[in-house]
Amino acid sequence: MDTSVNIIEIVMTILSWGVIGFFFYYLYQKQEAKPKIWKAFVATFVGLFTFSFNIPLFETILDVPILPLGVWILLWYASSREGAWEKYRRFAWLGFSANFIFIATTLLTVFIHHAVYPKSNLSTYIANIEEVAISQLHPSAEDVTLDQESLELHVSSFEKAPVTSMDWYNVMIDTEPHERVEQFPYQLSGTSSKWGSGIPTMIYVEKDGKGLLIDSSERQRYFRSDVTILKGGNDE
Amino acid sequence: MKQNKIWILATIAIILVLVVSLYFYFHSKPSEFINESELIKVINTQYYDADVLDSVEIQEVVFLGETHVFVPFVSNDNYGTSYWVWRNRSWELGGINTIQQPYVWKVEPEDPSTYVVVWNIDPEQEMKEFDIYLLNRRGYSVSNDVHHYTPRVQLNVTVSFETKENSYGVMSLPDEWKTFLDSYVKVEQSKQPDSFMFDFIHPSNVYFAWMPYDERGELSIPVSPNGAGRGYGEIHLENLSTIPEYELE
Repeated sequence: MDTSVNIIEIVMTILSWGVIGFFFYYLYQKQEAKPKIWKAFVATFVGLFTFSFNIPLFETILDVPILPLGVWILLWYASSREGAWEKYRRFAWLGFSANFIFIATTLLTVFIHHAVYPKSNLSTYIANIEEVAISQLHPSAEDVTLDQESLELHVSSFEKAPVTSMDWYNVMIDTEPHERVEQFPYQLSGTSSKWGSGIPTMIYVEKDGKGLLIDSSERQRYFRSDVTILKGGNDE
Repeated sequence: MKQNKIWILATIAIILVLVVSLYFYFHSKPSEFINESELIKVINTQYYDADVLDSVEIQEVVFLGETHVFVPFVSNDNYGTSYWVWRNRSWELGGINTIQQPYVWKVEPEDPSTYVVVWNIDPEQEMKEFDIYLLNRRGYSVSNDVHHYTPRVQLNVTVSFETKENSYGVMSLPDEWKTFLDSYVKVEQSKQPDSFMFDFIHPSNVYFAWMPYDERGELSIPVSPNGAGRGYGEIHLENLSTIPEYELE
């Protein structure tokens, strides 16, 4: 099972091209002086070409078109040919407008992705717990193992909490390096995010076994529980 | 009209044959590896010293997968390593080195299970054992109220150099390192929206280091009087430096 597939993105990409195809068909049917269909295709594709700005928004990047370069190229090309612009005008602008269709579907993708894969639920990031394992990442890590029973019982009790990165960092700053105790000295592996979410994950486990810090393609998420998922070490 | 169709079909057929044969030409399986005398010749051309000529001894030819080969050698009492890759239908020298330190060769950068630690160090050195480290710097960032914390990672594995039969070695990473790096590389890769623009992945902070010790357990870095290295930018070779003792946690 390939977990890197972002099913929402794939569906939305197909959908956006479908919408463009629909408009293309609609315009082609409506037009009286019909150009050759492949030429109308080319006009649409050239129309896509713009001078654009990248605006990062909602943890994605929006390509906002500013200047319709492709439309201008076609206009320049058609200017020497009588009646050509009349024929291709609509398709060129369809190409330009397609950029806005992409913006709309990108935003919709983010929205739907959040709805289908809620980022405040741990189950989005840890979809299966049968083969989960713990490994040590730091000398201050203790010789612990995963408490499988505890994880199964309490995985749903983990709640979103703020990432207090500065505190975790600063608490050790005055300590001698060899005495430093890492806040997240373990990795939780052997699991993956929900199918179709396409979210790669790096899951750090807090030293008390009650917190999970999840690094992914988006912002970090932090989940806390009242119960530890580790056993062994000095706690018992 | 019929004539026309035949021409079109013929053109398509020719293009297809060309594409298929070009594909097989450039993706063909490697031929047999270069023979020893040819290897010695190439290695010699890398070092201009006239009296070095003919004194190169190939210690071993180690295949790392089908297309990557590690060749340790001794040239005039200089212990060296060379790195070969199968590219464009020939075996090319990717890098060569006589500096006395281990390297991490990322054979396939996107797949940490192919990473290996390699070395070839003069056995006459004081060094009796060394530690290889996998490290990540602790860090935090806050921008627009979005917090990010990078935990410190510090893992090490000890190699008992004096008990080894050979001056050289190839070691794949411990399983926990592979697991960690695998997740790490995938996450870091997904963070760059334009990552497809670059065909090589460079994890931002994670790096390797080493600490050589003598028989008293004191730091003892092998010297490389005539050490020289050359890379041809086609392989992903990370050279390991030592860590100041006070930085170790």
